[in-house]
Amino acid sequence: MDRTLVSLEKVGRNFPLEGKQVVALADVTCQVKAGDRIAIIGPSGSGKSTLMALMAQLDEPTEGLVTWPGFGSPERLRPRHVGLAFQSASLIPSLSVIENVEMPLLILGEVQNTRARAMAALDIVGLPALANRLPEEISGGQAQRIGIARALVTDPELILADEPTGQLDQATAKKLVRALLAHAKKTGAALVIATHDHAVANQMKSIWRTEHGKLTTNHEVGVAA
Amino acid sequence: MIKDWIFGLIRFRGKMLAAAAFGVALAVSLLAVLALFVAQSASTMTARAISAVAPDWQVQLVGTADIDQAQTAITETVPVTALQIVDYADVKAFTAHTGGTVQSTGAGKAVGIASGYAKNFPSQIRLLAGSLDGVLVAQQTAANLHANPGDTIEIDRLAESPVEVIIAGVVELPGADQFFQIIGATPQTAPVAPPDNVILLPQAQWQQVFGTQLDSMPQTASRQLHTSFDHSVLATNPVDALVDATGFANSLLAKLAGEGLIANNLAARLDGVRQDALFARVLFLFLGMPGALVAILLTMLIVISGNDRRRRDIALLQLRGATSVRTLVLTGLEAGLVGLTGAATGVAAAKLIVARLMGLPAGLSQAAWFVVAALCGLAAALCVFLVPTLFALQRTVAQNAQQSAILDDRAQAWKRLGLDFAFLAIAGFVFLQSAATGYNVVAAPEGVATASVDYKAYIAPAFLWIGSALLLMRCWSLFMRRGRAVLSFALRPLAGIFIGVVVAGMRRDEGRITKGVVLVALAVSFAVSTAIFNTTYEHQAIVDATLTNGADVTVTGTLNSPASTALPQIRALPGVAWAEPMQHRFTYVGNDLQDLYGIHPDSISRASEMSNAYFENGDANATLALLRKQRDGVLVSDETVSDFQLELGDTLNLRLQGGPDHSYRVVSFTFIGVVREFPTAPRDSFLVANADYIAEKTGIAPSEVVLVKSTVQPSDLARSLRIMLPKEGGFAVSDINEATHRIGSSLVAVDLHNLTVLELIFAIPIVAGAMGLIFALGVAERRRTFAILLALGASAHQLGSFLWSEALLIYVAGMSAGLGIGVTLAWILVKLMTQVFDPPPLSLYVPWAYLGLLALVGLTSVVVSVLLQLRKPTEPLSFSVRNL
Repeated sequence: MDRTLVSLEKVGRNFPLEGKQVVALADVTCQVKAGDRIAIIGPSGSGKSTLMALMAQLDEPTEGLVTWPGFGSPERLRPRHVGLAFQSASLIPSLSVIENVEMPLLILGEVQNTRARAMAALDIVGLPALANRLPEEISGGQAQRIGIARALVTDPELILADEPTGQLDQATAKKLVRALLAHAKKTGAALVIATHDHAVANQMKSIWRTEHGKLTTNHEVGVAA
Repeated sequence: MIKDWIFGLIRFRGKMLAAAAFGVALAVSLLAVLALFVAQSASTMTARAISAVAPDWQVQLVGTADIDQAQTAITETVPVTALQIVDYADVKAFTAHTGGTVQSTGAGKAVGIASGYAKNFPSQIRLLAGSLDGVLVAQQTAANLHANPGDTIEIDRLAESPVEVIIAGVVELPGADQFFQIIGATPQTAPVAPPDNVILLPQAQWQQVFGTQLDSMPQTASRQLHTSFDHSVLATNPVDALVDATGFANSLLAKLAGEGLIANNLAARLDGVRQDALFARVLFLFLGMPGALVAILLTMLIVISGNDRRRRDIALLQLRGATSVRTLVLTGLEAGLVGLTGAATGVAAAKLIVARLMGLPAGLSQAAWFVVAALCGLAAALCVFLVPTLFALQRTVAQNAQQSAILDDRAQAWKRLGLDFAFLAIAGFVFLQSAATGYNVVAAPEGVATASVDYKAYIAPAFLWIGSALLLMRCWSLFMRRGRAVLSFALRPLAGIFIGVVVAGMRRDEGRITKGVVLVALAVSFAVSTAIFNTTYEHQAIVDATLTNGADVTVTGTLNSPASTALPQIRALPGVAWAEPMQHRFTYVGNDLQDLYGIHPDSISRASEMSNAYFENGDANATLALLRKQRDGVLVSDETVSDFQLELGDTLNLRLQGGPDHSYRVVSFTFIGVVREFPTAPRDSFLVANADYIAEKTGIAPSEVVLVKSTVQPSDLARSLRIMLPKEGGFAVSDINEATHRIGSSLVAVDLHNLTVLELIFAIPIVAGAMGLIFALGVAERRRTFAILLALGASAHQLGSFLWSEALLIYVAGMSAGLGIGVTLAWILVKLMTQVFDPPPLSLYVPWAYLGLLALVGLTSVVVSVLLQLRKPTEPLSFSVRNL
């Protein structure tokens, strides 16, 4: 039986705004299991990023329970168990590309071969040539791909990517998703992608849909690699 | 829109605006308090200086002038508090028959005073023995005649037969120079020494004895009106007070219509104080302005840290069609908000400090300074906000929308031009030029109403400050780029496995770190330079006061009643650390009567600090050792060496009073060194020799003076001594605190104690602000980086390695550079202000405790700042990530 990595039970998340409570997510119950390939789609503001943040332990629910049964202790999920690629370009401006990618390994306290592993991660996204550039010297799309390399560098068991192809052309997006899927297959990691792009979503095994904070799961439409 | 804009600013940029307002508040309060300090100093200086003047005017009547009319003219001109007639007559000689011998003096003066004179002008006559009621004889005349109260003296008049008078008392005339000054002499005339022999008669008796001489030989006798008036009619500022005093005197001269001449002692004193007031202003500018500038720089850096965001705001406003004027108005609102808040807070803080520390009552003059300082703060705020906006408005929307502006090239132009080297070269050149002219920063020529400050002298410290800051910026920038190995080695204990990325990140962020290091260095240099200068100044003020008074407490007697007779009682008094007897005799060097000090070289320094600067060879210990070795040795002042063309080893024959009859006899000394200053000695000519040798050769062992080192407050010990010492001894007890009030020199006239306290108060928040705030702002600039690190999974401890590394770097580099610049600046300031030091300091005096406190405050502010940054974020990390 597949191991459950993260489980959400009747989870809700409200945000206070000008004296009122805005519901970002309500009564969400779902599970991500090892080896899952999930695309979360839905209109802007429907709760995709909030759901990803809760899974990544970047946020806490206002209702319900989020657990990570597959990872043992919920302490320090990132970057050992969960690799996170952000929606926006999220490189540290004062560090070079390779140093940015290397950072999660250093956070883990690893000292051996960190540079080589970072180069390998850059290779996955096809940008080893940019290793010594500074973030300000590369394009937005390149920065987004480097963000994905950084999410993969620790070989996490759960990869969460929020709009990873938002700034890419279709061909590059397709290549990137393929590379992600290949890496996930190689490491046995689960892959969850929040996206507006149906072409990307269709490459996943499952598509979850969010709308007005509600989640509909188990639309198995794609054939993930 | 304006209302929304203001609320938006407060809501979203409240912390940045508060920090900027803090900088403005610091600058405003520092400016206001220092300006008030200078005003108060000038006022205190004036009051203190003129309180010792007595009489204010000596009006000499000419020819057949009517004395009643003259008195009326005086009372109509000023609010008179004392008005006394004083008569002067020349005499051929005085003779006394005492102890079976006859002693005669040379020519002298007989003065007629009213009975209330000593009471009205107490600083002019000091009773040493006997009573003030009757005929008084000056101390030196009494010594020459061997006369004591009750003895008879014969006055040998010029035109008539001698008359005999009975002495009632022996007195000292401390203001003899002024009392016997020649009135109406041209300004070029050299001052004339007071007469060696003086007798004072009650006015009626003088009239009886010299009335005829006054009428028949008016060139040998004169009549003066000694006047003092209420000083509240004078301005508090010495320059204006001098104008007032001169104006009143001119008015009186007009009323006297040629029947009187005025010696304006008050104006003469104010003329000296005027220079002190200018020194106070110079000190204010030298010591206070850097602090205000650092506070403004702090504000600038805070505001600049928000420039990227502000530029993007401007881009948005431009996109939406806002005109340049509209954009400027909106930025002006931000500036106004910061400026007004800062100015109001600064004025409130200044009022508190002024009331608590300086004890000044609120008044219109204070309000004026507060308004000026507040306007300066407001103007500074407008500049730091509006200037970048003006630049931004010249750029396109696209350029403004970029994350960082393309300003680096323009900003770094100074490096290509080598402005740092240019500033330092100019500073060095001007300093050397000032050295060549003897560092005469303030010039107040005697008798000339205008006084001036050589503002060019400011160039040296100001350019040194700016040049050092720029050079530091250049060097630090270079170090950050080339010093990777050193940085890695130094920061590894803090950064651990992150060392590579920490150092790499710092090197790429060197612009921001360099700004922080330079600002901290400037803030520290302000604190260090003022603290060292003030400590040196205060130390020299004590040396100056010690030089004048002799020691913490000094007991002065006379040859007939030496203070050393009370030595056992003095030494036994609680609070006395050491009491040192010192002979103070008079001796003729050729025809010149000079002061001779007989000391015990082994023990004199136990009572009074023997500064190296007192001696020409710059070595007090060696000079005293030489004197100890050479029993007949004598130290001679510069002037005497030059006047008599003396060479070391020459025999010097001095005429000293000795034996039971106190007659003058020749004693041979050997010239062994040059003395420039000595406790209690006059500034011009004097000699120092071994007390034992003088005692042996004159047969008079006792010492006229006792110098006392105190373990308690000198004024308290002086009070105890006055109570303990016998009244009939005629001893005068003075303490160092009185001396600081009495001395007319520039050094102690400007009391820097309050300024020191003020600077301590301001330097600490400035340094703390520079350390903590700049570091915190650095983190604010890198909030994005830390959000990414936290989202990637970095722990607070790991985040700490970035923060602590940067904090340590800014702290150590800023502190070290600031210390270096501060010490250099203090040295230059001391050199430039050498005019106020008498004697000049041998070295800088470093207030280690204060500097330690400063280092601790800086460290604490950095630690607090880091710990605040390491607090768990209040908003969910998902928010920060979303806003990346």
